[in-house]
Amino acid sequence: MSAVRRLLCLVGLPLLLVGLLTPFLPLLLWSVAGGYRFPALLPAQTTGRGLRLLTDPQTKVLTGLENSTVIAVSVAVVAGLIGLSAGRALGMHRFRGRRLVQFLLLAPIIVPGLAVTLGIQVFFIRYGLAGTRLGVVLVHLVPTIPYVTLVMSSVYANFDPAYEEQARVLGAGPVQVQVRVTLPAVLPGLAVAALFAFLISWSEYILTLLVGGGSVQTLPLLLFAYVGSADVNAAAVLGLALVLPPMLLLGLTAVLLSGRPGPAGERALAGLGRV
Amino acid sequence: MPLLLAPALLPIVVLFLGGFAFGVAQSLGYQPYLGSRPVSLAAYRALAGDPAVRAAVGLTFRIALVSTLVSAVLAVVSALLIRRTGRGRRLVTLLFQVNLPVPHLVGAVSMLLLLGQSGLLARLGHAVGLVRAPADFPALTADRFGVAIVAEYVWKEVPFIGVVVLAALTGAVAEIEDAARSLGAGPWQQFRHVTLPLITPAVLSTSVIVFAFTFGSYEVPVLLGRPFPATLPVVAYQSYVDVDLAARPQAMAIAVVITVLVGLLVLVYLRLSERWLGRGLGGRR
Amino acid sequence: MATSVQVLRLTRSYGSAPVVRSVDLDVPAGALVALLGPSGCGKTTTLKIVAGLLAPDAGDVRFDGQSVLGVAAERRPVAMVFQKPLLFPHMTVADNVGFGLRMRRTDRAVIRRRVAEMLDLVRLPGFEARPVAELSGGQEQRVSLARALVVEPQVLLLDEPLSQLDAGLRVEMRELVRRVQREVGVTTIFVTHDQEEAVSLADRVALMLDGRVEQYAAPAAFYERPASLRVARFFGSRNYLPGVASGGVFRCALGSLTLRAADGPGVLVIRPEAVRLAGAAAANCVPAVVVATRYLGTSVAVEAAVDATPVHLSVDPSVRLAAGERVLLRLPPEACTVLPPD
Repeated sequence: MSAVRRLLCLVGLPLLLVGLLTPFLPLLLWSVAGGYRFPALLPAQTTGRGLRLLTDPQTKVLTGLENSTVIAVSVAVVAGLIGLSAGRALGMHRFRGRRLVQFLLLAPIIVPGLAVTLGIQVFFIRYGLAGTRLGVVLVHLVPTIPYVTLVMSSVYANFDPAYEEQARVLGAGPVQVQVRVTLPAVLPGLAVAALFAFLISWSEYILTLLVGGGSVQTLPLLLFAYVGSADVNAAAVLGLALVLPPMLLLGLTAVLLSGRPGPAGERALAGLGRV
Repeated sequence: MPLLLAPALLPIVVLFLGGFAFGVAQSLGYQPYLGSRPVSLAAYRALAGDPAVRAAVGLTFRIALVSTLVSAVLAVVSALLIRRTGRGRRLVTLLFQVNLPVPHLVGAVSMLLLLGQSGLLARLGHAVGLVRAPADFPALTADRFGVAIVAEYVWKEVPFIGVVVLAALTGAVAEIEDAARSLGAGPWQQFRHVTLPLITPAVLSTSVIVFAFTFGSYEVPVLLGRPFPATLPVVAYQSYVDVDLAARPQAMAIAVVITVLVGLLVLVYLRLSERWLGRGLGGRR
Repeated sequence: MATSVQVLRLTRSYGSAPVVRSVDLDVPAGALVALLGPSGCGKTTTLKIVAGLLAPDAGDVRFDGQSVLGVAAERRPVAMVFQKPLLFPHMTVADNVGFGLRMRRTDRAVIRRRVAEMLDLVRLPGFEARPVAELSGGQEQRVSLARALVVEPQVLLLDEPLSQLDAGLRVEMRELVRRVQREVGVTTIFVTHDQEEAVSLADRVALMLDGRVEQYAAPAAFYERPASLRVARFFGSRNYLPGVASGGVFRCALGSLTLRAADGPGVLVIRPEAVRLAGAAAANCVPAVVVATRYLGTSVAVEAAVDATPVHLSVDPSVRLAAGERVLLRLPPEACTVLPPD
């Protein structure tokens, strides 16, 4: 049996990793390929055209980068604050209707955003929110709130309220207790929650399209346009531009939070299902 | 308490519940800011008779179901393999998770460049002499079955389910397995009677999320599928942006159908998991 | 500097369950009082009301005669040490100890000096820069004590601060608490469920049972003059002899004993250590047979029987007794307490 298992490990694991990593290969090749026609395995020559597109003011890539960043950072901040308060309510308190609130706040994990956003798109237009960054930020809150709530409520559930009592009997007022004691304690979890809000917003396509219309061009919308125009070079470069910031952020967070194991990280992993 | 919950509930109630409610209303003929029309089930009747929609229901279900099942099985196998890895486990775990932050849209583009008829796989086929021209390579993208769509979902969701399962396979599980072994359980019996029941809640809850996502996702099928048959979200969006405004109630009706189908699935899951495991989706805390 | 604390008819319920029922407690300035009782007796709730972390349903808390009920927890001149050390994990030892002073916007240099003094006091000199994660359990609780004392509280509240330490460390910490309390002279209320801890540490002990103070007295009184059968049982008395008293004579299963008791039915309570072996027949002596002995190191626990009534006594290990041996037991009148039956 152990021989079979060893064989499985020996063959299965490399097979798994090859399967997971191969899809990155054409993206990397196409991003620098000049004249890459079937049946060539490798590009005949390399070109910097794709990379130049990133910084070319003629294209909308820079605007897209700005839009994506502003929107995703705003969503991360707002969703983080929302998670901070809702997480406290759900993680530290038992109250009537708690299950209902929990159900409501988690429902957008399951129900597709497209299905519900079609119904209110008219109102975004009516109230002048369509085609604005604000409108896009608002609609991005729907898929992010469940995850920040999930992360922060488990963070708060693991926070011992006795720390707050301890701070109070040492002379800290209500605001000081929150700022000096509670916030530092939940900060790692908050960072994870905000990170996932950022990632979800950064990756969002259809909600941005519905509410942003054509006027708020984020990177995913531009990528889609390049795929449509069959500019594979540009699409590959833009694809990499979409992938790298989240990977760097995730790596950075992992490094910052290493040695601080806890429920936050584990729970937060679920957030990636949405990205 | 209401003060703490208001910031979270406000957007969800207005945008999410409101969106669903207005979607239902519009599917029944209500038209905000346009002339009123009588309430009717015409849109739903039209759906039932629309071959595009009927084909879409089957295709969407099939893609979501196959993607979820394949992802779940591969994820469990991967998690067990990774757990047994001795040296280099950290690196393997890292590589396993590396595509987690990749947007599905980028994943779809990658699959296009990998699985398309002039994609990297077809070129590899040419290199070993199996393929002479792009047309010789089987159509995996824009095909009838949505092979590339499933491939993209599986590629993204195996690490997602796998990571959650790995988190469930703690040291405590290893101790329980040792206890089972000391009671005479063989490797298969250990897996069947100890390991599998312990990771089932993690597998089931993530699978539900994956099924719901693959059922309602738009960008992956629109890039990797064909216009007919398309998946339900694609049909809904196409009807919504149709120049003929009369198609709007139908788009809304499809949106409602998607929501109801996914909602039903979750209810079934909650029922079953409460019966089998004594815990529901809320129990994942 | 020391403040007296009065707790007057304090009452508090959780939902419909009364937890503290009309508790009165008078703690003299500078005294160390132990609030003793089993878990769920209301002692921690009482402490939290004194700290201001909970509001009472009725009753009053007074410091030096002044009610403090309207004063928020952070403004009361109290400091509290909890069961868990609750050191703030994102701060160093010095930041933890100095926390209360920072909340009072004390000058930095003063904070540094006071922190060093407090760490000296709890025998952790030079620990300022240590991360909290590197401390042992005992060190954590000592830092917690220093953190409470640094603000120079007029009242120090300790909520079972030693219960999570192992036995040896607990005795050592007990002495540290006693010494520090003496040196600082702060009025202290100490909650514990450990009777040995209470009697060895406190000037006075308040035994709480079911939300009421059952007896409030100096430690020895709980052994020598328990106020009720419940108190005697909590302190581990083993001999309970129901009977009837009249005219200075108590009639029970052991026969007639001469002792002072109010006329009427009652239960005679005597601790095993107080029961003596007598050489010759005298007043309050009864013949008995040894049933079993158990060697306990510093003493021998003996179970004897007078007819069918068991009597427990504790004798010096040098006394050799065997099962079946006939002995004469003496019950000194001054060690006997007759309590009303409950």
